[in-house]
Amino acid sequence: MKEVARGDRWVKLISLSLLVGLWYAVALLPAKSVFPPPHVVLLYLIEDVQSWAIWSHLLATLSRIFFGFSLAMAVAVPAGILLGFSGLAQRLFGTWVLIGLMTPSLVFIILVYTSMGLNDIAAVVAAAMTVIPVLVVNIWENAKAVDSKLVQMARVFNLSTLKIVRQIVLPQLAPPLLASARFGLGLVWKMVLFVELLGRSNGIGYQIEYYYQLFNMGRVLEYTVFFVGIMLIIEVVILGGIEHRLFRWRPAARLG
Amino acid sequence: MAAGGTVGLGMSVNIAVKNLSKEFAAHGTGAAWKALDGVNLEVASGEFVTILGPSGCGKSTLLNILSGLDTHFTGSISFTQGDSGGTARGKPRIAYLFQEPRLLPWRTVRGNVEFALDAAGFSRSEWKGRCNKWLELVGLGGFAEFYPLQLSGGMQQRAAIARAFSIEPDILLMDEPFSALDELTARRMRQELLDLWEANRHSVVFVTHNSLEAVFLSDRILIMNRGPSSRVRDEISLNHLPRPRSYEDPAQFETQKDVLARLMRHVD
Ligand SMILES: Nc1ncnc2c1ncn2[C@@H]1O[C@H](COP(=O)(O)OP(=O)(O)OP(=O)(O)O)[C@@H](O)[C@H]1O
Ligand SMILES: [Mg+2]
Repeated sequence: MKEVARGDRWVKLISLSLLVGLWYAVALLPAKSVFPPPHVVLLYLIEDVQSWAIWSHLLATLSRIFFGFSLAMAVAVPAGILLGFSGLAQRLFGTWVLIGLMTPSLVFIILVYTSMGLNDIAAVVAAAMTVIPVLVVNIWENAKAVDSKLVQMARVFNLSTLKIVRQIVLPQLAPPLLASARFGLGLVWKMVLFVELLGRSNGIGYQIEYYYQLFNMGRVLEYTVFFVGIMLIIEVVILGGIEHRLFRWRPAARLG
Repeated sequence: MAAGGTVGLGMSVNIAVKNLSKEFAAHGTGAAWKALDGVNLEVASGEFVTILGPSGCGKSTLLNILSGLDTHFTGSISFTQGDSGGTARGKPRIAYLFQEPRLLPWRTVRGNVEFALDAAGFSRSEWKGRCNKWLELVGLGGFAEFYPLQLSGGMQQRAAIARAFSIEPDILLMDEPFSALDELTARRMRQELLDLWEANRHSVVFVTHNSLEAVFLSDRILIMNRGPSSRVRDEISLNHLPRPRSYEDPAQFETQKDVLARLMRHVD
């Protein structure tokens, strides 16, 4: 296991260096001033993280992500599970989900901003709305995978229905739900930037738009690298940690 | 069958099945598949009965009905308290060992046994003692805190056996519990099963298509024919074979040949 991990680390290092190399290659193309090389961006970043501004934009964006993500999960988890287990719900609301999927995100955002005004609550709702249909479908698919053999076993042992849900169904749904959560987080944070760009005056998305207007690609890339880095840490450290704790019982599965 | 109070005294129970029939609606073709057609059988209190039959004859279907999982059938099933001869109140406590262990992979071995104790209504203070006792008896004393996926197939099946016995069932239903194991492990597990059963004497309905296993374990063998329209076609008492039994015993070997010959008659 340790050998595998060490080899893995090398591969990751090589892959990262390749990416940086590719960046240099692009930066050396004729339009040099537009697309700065990595070390310039890094210098911008080192300069900026020492001041409060970039952190306040990050905080604004992260809180929108947090609330947008929570709202999206709060709607999508029960809806997805309901659709997975109830034929009636499927017939009633299946089409809604489909329409939601087909509607462009831009339309959702515009609709929410025009009806709720250009404020933070609207931004959160808009970000959540754009990802809810995708999340619902994702969870709906996963809800179908619950092992009926274990449910039968529990029934023979005379377990009450409530306990069957708590002790048999939910633990089986936990891994796919966590996967859905990671997937949802990835969707929400991209949408939040988009929502900020369209109707807020702070946040990472707004900053990227602002520097884009000034055609300052160095700053655009600086904010991008900064934000992607933070999100990577959140994803790997926090969600990865939860996953590790929840799924200790799957020793073999971790090799894959 | 309504879920009422349990008998739950660890007493064994007589089982009487009369004229039990079960049809599956066939998909597509429209014709129904008569899986069971007029099954009659009785199991005396504390008796070890094995149902022997070819694949697809409806053995699992029968156990699903006996266990209460499947309630769509015609005919009658009655459970009566063994010793007193009176009618059991409510539903007897049933343990069902499936062909696969069906353990909860996210719980430790101890957690899996406690799951059954909880479901059967044992008070929390009893869990630890019972759990330790049964895990010890199936040879998993040192593995209580392991997760099922960290155990071999045979150990998992042992954990399932501990789970089944720990609730002190009135009736034990077993659906080919050893068929996924290698013969050596299976032999050891059969012996362990008999030891546990000798000590507890609940009524057992054991399903298999292995005649060697049937002869080694049972008081009585019931033979079912290949479907459709399966029912109990033949019955062989094994009271002439003393316990403990051994695979090398010539009398047992002769009996097995006889059982196999009689099984063949109902396969074609
Ligand atoms: N849910 C179902 N729907 C339709 N037909 C079924 C269903 N379950 C079982 N059957 C049919 O009923 C018959 C008996 O099945 P069952 O699983 O009880 O056989 P079995 O004796 O346990 O076989 P095996 O030894 O292979 O486990 C088979 O022909 C099977 O196709
Ligand atoms: Mg079967």
